[in-house]
Amino acid sequence: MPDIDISKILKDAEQGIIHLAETTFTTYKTQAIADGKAFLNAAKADLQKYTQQLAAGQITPDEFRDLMQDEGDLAKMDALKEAGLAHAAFDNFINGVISIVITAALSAIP
Amino acid sequence: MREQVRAMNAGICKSYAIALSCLFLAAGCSTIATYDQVAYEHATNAKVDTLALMDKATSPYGDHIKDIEAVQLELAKAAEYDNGRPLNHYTIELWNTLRGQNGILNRFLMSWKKSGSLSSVFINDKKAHVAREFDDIIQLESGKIKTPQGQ
Repeated sequence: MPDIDISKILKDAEQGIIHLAETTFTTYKTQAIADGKAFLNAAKADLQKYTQQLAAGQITPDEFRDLMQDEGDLAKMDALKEAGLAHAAFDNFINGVISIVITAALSAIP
Repeated sequence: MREQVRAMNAGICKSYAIALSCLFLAAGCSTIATYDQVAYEHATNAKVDTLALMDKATSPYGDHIKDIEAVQLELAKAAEYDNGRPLNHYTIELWNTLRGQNGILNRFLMSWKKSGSLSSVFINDKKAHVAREFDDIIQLESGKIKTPQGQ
């Protein structure tokens, strides 16, 4: 297995993200850089694995690109799941609040 | 007499409070669909069948046309079931992403078709991604509030 300097790849990618955010956004630049870094961090393990597979000739450059493209969908799906779970947690909380209010109201009536 | 009227008024107030509370519970506090056992089973079954299909990509695409169509039909049915459930926006969007024309699974099928067959290394990498997509759908369903009729 060839030795790949993953920290150099990550550093280069991070600089690219900062440049992209600075040239794309003015108002949301800071948030865009933070989002880009979070995405890079989430994809780090896969990036390392696929880079090594590419260097070892186990996957083709097209397959490498395809796998990295998947990361966008994976991030989107994770975000959707988390948003849905937050709604479920909110519903659960509100149901609890309503139960408390009902109990309090009923017990106040003689 | 006055005590009887007071007791009657208290009873009426209590009934109103109960009715109002039931109305709150029934109408005002759901922002997402509740758990559905059928939807959960659709997603878990589709995951198993899809990953099993992907394993076959080491052999020619043309040999598995019927298997591919069967899985695509299973996915369509699972997505359609979720599509008909109210307050189910997030799950619908998850299915749309998973089944999207340029989504992870479809790009895998297109690569398989184009190349004829794929390497086991690439198949395993793609399987991990597709499994994660199904897990997002399954975990969201599991996280929804369970009601007696949904279980």
